[in-house]
Amino acid sequence: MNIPSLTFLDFQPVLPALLLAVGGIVLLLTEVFQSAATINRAYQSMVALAFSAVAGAVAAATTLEPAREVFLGFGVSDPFSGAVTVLVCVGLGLSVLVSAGFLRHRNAERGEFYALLLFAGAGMSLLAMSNEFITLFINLEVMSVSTYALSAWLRRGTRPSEAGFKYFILGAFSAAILVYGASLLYGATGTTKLSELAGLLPAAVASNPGLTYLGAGLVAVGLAFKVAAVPFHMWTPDVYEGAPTPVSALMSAGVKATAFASLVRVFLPFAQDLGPNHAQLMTYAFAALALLTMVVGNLMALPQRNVKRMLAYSSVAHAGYLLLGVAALFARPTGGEGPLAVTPLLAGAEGAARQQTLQAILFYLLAYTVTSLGSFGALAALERREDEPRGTAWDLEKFAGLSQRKPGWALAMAAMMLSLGGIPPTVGFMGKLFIFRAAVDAGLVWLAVAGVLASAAGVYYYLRVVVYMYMRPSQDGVTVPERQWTTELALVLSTAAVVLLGVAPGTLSAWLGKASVLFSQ
Amino acid sequence: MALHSSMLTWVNAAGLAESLYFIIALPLLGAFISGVFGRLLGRANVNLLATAAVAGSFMLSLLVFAAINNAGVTAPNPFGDAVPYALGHDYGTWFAAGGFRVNFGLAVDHLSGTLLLVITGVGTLIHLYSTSYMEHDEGYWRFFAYLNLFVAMMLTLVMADNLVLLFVGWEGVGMCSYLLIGFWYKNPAYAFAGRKAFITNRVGDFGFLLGSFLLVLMVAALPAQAPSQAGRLEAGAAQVGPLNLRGVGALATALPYSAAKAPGAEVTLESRVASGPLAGFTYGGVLTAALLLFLLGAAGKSAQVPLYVWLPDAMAGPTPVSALIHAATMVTAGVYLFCRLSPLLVLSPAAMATVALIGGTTALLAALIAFTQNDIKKVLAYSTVSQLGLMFLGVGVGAFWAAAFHLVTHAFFKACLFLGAGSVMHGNGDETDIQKLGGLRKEMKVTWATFAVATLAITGVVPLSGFFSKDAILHAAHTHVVPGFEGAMHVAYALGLLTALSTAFYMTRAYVLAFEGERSKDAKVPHAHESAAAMTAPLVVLAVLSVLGAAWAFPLLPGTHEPVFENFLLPVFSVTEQVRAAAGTVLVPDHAGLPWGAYVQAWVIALIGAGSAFFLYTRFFPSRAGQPLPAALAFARNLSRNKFYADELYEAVLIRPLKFVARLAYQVLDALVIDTVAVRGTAWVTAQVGSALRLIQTGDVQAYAAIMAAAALGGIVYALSRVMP
Amino acid sequence: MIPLTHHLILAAVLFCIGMAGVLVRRNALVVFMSIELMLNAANLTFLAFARDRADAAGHASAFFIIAVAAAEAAIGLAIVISVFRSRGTINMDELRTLRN
Repeated sequence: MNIPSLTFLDFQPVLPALLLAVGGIVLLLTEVFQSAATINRAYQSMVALAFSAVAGAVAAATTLEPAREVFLGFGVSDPFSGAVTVLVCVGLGLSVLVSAGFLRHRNAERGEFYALLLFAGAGMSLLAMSNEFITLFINLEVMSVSTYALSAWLRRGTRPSEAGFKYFILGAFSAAILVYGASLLYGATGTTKLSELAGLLPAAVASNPGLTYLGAGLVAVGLAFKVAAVPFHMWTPDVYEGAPTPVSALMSAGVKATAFASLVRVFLPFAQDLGPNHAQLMTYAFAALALLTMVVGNLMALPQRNVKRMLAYSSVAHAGYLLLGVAALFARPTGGEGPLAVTPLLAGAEGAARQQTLQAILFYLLAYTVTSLGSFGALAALERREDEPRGTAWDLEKFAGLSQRKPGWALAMAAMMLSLGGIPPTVGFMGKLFIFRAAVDAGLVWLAVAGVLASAAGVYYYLRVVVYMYMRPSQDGVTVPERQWTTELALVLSTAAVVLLGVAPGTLSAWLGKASVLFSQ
Repeated sequence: MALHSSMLTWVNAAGLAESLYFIIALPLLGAFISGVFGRLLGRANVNLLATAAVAGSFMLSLLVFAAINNAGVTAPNPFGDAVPYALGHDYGTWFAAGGFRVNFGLAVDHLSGTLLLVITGVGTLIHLYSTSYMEHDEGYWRFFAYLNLFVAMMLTLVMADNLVLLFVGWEGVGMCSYLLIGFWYKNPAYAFAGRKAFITNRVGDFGFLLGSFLLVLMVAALPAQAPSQAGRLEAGAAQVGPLNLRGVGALATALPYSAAKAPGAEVTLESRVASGPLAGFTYGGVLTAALLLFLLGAAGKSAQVPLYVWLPDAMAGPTPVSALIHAATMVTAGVYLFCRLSPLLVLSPAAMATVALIGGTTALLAALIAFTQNDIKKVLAYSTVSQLGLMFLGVGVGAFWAAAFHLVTHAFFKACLFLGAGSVMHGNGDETDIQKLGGLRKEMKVTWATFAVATLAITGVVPLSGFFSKDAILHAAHTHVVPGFEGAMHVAYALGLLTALSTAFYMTRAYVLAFEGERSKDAKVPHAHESAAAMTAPLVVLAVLSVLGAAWAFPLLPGTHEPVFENFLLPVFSVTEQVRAAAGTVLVPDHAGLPWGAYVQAWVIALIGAGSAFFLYTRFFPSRAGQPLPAALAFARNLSRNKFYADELYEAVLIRPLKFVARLAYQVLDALVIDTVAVRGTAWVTAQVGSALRLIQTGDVQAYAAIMAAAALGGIVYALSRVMP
Repeated sequence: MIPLTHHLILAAVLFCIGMAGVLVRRNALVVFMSIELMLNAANLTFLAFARDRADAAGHASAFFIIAVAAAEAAIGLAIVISVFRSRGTINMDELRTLRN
């Protein structure tokens, strides 16, 4: 009997996730020592912030290490997973900062909140590293179960519980689809490990194409749900609207980033080892998803007067741009066999080109993480608890004249809107530039053109917010919530990131170049 | 030249090159301080600070301009020999992604140097003017912050040494223009005008971006296919990126026009791209597509057909803004862009013909619309569109120096006209209807005199600057030969002549109605008052410049027949000239002295247009018919006797059809096709589709799940049908 | 011995029944149980293949899925309770405040 042995080298890469989990446990334990009389939870957000920061720093160090398999191939530690963990920690930290003021303002600050945030973060970090279907499923659920609970966190009115319920039902539904797909792939290939899958797929497709395709398709559906690709996006606006705003922010940034990481990792073997016809079909599938997602996301955001819903649809649209990058990643054309023939990934000149695409995806994830956190943060600062049950808390009118009442907040929000719209000098512009360029390079010119047109439509609703803030007088009787220094700190940080990375994206290119390396056999 | 060298020994050219960014940084800093601390500082300080920032830039620009007139001064050029008569500095990598890199580099040559002077010089005058014009406005600090920011962005656009940085300026000026058009945002129509400008510009901007993508792809594809031809291009692109402006010249040089013209070349414009996303298309085809996409971008920014609609509406902004942004500087960015792309443009006769025809059509269409406008700013706005069309016509026929020359003279006289219009409004209770003005000649003497000079200049009366610059374009349209597209060039020339005639007519009309005759009974204030010195002084300076600008049109240099300005721009367009000569796409006849025949012709046209308008609007129309006619005009007297009958005839034969055409052009093309169908229609359809899609989002979880299941089923069934035997 | 295909068909039928239940049943708890049915279809598939190939990985997978399903059940029931508290019903048709 072969007893597998684990060494420190196996545990070192999961250190960020362990730190986050330990942070969550610490928060839960300190809650025990609180007495009802002298209760003070101000420290909790700081503890959560500290753990996120340390975990992020540790993960940043991971990105500099060579890619390798850990835990007997159930996970991989590669620069890409490290970078995604860094993104998750950035998202967590900003989200914690926004939450602190948000929850205090609503008397909803309880210890479990930050613990759940940290557990979700641990799940995300591990999901980015998962290299086996069951591991992937477990970590997906660790992340999801925490976010289900978080989205139903507020106990005011009917919306939060409805949001949590919808998210839970659809999330569990999609998870069941994913795991059934995984079981079929297991049947077709005899393995659940992605690293072994690569070698076994050609034979499986040859002997049993139906089972393989059905399994792969169902797995794709499960992941498409998490990234909110149209038509699997329907939960997004409802859940984002009902969930506490800082949680919506984390869902749009962290959940999306890790789901994309997982999507890339799972479908790499397919792009790598299947023949040109299969790879072409897969590229078309992702291209179609990207097209639908970009177009529908933008179109549905267009008529929204509810800014929170608008941001939700906008997050769908951004998933579309990212899918464009994913399609480009799989569609690298070569001179040889047919228009969309595929060579082994990440090797040779084509590998370098793919790495460029991966870097573009990573940069876009980073851009979207800071921008999304910033815009939801500004929204969280502005909304008043009295309006929430009526659903008018996020109406455009609330932004009218904000430039006079709160010039700093208005400036931050304006920067975020420009970034989401892809207007220079913001990081969103650079992100779009890189992604569209990658798509053009990969031969998906028309898809890139469609993306550019769709994002042009997007400019309209982003600018509408700016117009309201700067060109409409305030409504009568609108009061501004009291200052929350944590939220304002988050706004300052994200605005600085949006502008600085937009002006000088070169500062990160060295790190991103190192980080956009995926483990491959 | 000797004088220059001795004067400039104390200027360290290398140090000056490194300090180029100060020219941008000064107004940027001004914008920051005015924007953030403006309210604290108070009105006087903001006025001083904003004007001083731009004036400081002007001083630095003068220094740079003096330096680049020195024969020994060169700018580094990674694509080949150093560029003479230029300063440049590369501040290092701005961003890079794989093989694609963009450097942060600034460069000033004779073209951008001239524009620097125009932008900062006219900018300073307009800042000065605004201190008086905005003296009653509460938002002064916002105004000056935007205006300074605009100047900084415009300077970035002009000084950028690569297309990406140029695009930053391009977007920046668009944003400032949007902010300034909607400056009085409490009026919804003004705010709408701002948005219209922004959105129309964005349409063009995507053309710019896609054109840049195509250029990058071409630069990427060439070295593998033609290593010997593209050696310098590849080496340069590795250093400063493929979108460097010098790289544009290097790309044009590396691509011979046809195999017949360059036997033995590995690649010509007729060859097909071998690899990459463009594989299968010819280089020439891709080049033409890229240039047409850039044309779309330029048409958005420079208000050409079909994207010109935003400019007339942009008059919603304060008048100094109209003068600076929508007449003198920003709207000419498209012309500037095409001067920079000129080495590539001369390789594509089809693109040249398109540019010329678009320019000519815009010029005539806008001039016709200007006939029936009564709002003085609208007349000037359409006139700007028309003059920009002439510049594009010049670019399209390959007369780049003439287009640049008209750009400069136009900046002088149109800024003067706009500021004059602002002064008229300021003195007449914000009245803009020229039918309700009249007789201002006596009441606003300085404004009258300067407006008259500027009108003469734009009309094309000898010997003012507008005459020479416009004539240079028309002369080129007449004499340049583009093989294969002679017909298009003839049409463009005819359009140009008709435009010149129309320009003379409508400008004289506007001038006469506002300044001549008696004061209208409908006037808002009984007596107009002349504006303050801060407003009239810039008018005088600009009027003087409108006259003196003509000096550049004369062949004053010994040993050459070239006009001074053409000679001055030779170093800028030397690559273009080489490429043109090698490709043989534009045949330029030799200079043989001044084109006196063309001068007389142009002068007669101006005289007919201006004379008939002057006559019609001072003497002829019923409202002015009470005045006695001078005896000399026998023909006019005859008409005058049969006033009723002739009036009808005139109405029927000239005014009605003209009005009809103008109205048709305005209502059908402008209002219906473009405004309603193209702009609002697209927005409406998009919004409707968006609203319809909302109906799917019923809130019912099971419906969501059903859609997911159906989509998954459909997708998987389709995939299986493709792979199952 | 029962052939592999029988197990697989049974699992597929279970999966479809579960999916249909999610789509048409109105009671939140029944919908929830239908999702469990779908998960168990996956379990059955894993086990069938694992037995067919004599591979332990599939068996282990089933255990993990059962554990995760239990965790999901805990959080799901909590959410259903909170829905019931705020509305007094767990009828799916009435959960439509968040829409458009």
